[in-house]
Amino acid sequence: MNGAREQILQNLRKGATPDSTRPGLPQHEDVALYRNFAPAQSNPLQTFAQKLAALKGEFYQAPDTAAAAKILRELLPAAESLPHKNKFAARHPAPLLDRICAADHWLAENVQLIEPQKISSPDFAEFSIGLTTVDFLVARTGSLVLSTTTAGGRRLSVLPPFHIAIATPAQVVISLDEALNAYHARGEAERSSYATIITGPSRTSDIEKILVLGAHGPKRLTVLVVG
Amino acid sequence: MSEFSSFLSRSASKASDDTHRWKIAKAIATYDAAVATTKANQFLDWQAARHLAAAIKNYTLENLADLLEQFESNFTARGGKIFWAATAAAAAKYVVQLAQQRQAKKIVKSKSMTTEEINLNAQLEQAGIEVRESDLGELIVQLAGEKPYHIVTPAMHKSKAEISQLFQEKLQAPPTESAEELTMIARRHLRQDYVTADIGITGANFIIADAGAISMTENEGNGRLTMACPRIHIVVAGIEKVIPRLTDLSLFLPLLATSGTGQEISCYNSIVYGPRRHDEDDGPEEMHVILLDNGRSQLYHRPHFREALRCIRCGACLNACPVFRTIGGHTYNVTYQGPIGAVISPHYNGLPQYQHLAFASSLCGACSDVCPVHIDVHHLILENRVEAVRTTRQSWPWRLAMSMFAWMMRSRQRLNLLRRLLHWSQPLLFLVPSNRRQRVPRLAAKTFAELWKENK
Repeated sequence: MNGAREQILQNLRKGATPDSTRPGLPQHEDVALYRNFAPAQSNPLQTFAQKLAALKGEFYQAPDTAAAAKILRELLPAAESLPHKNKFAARHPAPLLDRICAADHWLAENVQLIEPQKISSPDFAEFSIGLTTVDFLVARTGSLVLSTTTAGGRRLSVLPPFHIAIATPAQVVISLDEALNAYHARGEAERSSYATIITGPSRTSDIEKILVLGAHGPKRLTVLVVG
Repeated sequence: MSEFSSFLSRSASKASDDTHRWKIAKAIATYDAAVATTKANQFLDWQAARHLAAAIKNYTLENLADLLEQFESNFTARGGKIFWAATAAAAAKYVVQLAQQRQAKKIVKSKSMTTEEINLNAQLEQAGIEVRESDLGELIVQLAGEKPYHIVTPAMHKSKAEISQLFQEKLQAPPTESAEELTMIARRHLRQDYVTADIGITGANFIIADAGAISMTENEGNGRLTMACPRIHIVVAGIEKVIPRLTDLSLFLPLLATSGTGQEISCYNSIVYGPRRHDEDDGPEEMHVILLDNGRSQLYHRPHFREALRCIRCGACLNACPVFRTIGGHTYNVTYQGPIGAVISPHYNGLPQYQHLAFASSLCGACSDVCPVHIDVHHLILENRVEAVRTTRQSWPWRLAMSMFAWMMRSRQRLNLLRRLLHWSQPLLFLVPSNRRQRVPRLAAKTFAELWKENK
């Protein structure tokens, strides 16, 4: 606590308009604001897939965990040319990931189940692939909402250059508004100190406005929807 | 030389620099095309969206003290620390002392104009602490020993060839003309810094009152790494960054991305509620948010200027401004360049000598047209201009000329007489020096009034 606090707050209170004439806080309805709201409403998952593809992310869908394991296995060896073969792919404990990895012998052996709190950041940085779950998929913008609870902390979804996010159709929502409302309402803030809205692989246009993927975060982002 | 006269000489040299003009025109043309497409594709009614954003921000400003307290109590309840800084110096001192107490050797930073405003890097380096800028554009200007050229695109003024030259000199990188290869050089260069830094410093795009959290927008992932790996996370944010509700992000994130870069929504928007919880896997052990005033609460007291605090720093007014495009970002010599900078800079602590920026505008209103929170930027520039004229003493020839001009303009007869005099003296205009950039315009053969009478 410092004197500046009182001084700043007092300055702001002194200058504010009297209560009676203050404007109210407007509500907003996303449906009235955004053009692509209707398609997202009629077929959220399809809209999500299209948006993600436009952002240069990859989308896969599997009817069950066995099919998901097959897709995942095909995705993974393609990345095996990356360095640090002993630290190839990492995942955090989550029932959905447990089931998929249990469905395939190769996955069970090669995808390391890690406890992030026991891994130092320099070691963590050697993993090539991070597998996480998600909180929500947002159809209208093609975004993923992740929190530390669903993503195994803050690092797993950003340090490895390839991020694979596994979701279920029930996690698809139409708008960011809906996702944030649900996130706030279920009190996720009391479990996770951090949430992030991911929209496509890491990118930059800082050099002559030329789009380059993979600036500092993952160069490759794949979403696999199971069920 | 005063700040004003050096501003004039910098403007003159940049305005005639064709290479600079070409680079900026190309970058802004790319930006303009992306913004137009995204506005049309994403928004049903862009005007309605910006009016709504302005109304939410007006509510916020009228209740700013209460909302800041709401943020403070929610955020500190989760173990976050708040420091209220009345001045830039107090904010920088807090960060330097914290870094020294925690024996930090290396700090990794993501892009933050507020840390530029408090001149943080220089003070940390003076204390012997290594500071690494991690945003690609910021890294480029840091390596070049320059200040950011533009609040959103810090290295807008550098070509691929110049950046390659810089990377060869400073990072011993091989020469390349590819933007992708240059980006990968920066990626490899900074990789170790994220995982070995003791402290991560970021800005905040929004302070969310009801959630007690901050929101940070970026595209590269350097911000996420800065908030994930180091054991301490420090946020420096202006007190005006508040939004009342978490769900307001669903409007402000698309607005910011559309106006800032022409994206529907930026790649990463992180919401940080506090330091790592005891049952979490990772994250910083400490999180400090510095709430910076530095003249904002003074600006707040001026009825006309309060709306300038709605600004979300998207940079759209810079890109739209014909003066910015001509004289470039560095010429302004302030943290916040362009039209919004001309509005706020003279009011921020320690910068009254920047009143002349009010004259670095054609008052064409392009800035106000593009502003996503509907700030009447060019009228505020005019307000500053009025104030500059009232508070600075003009030279006597100028005052004499102005009072004569005013006297002439007050009567139609006198104005007609003045015109006739000027018309007769036109042959003498060769005495006035002219050059490539400026020449005395010739009077039209007939006045509008004469033409009107003839064609009636």
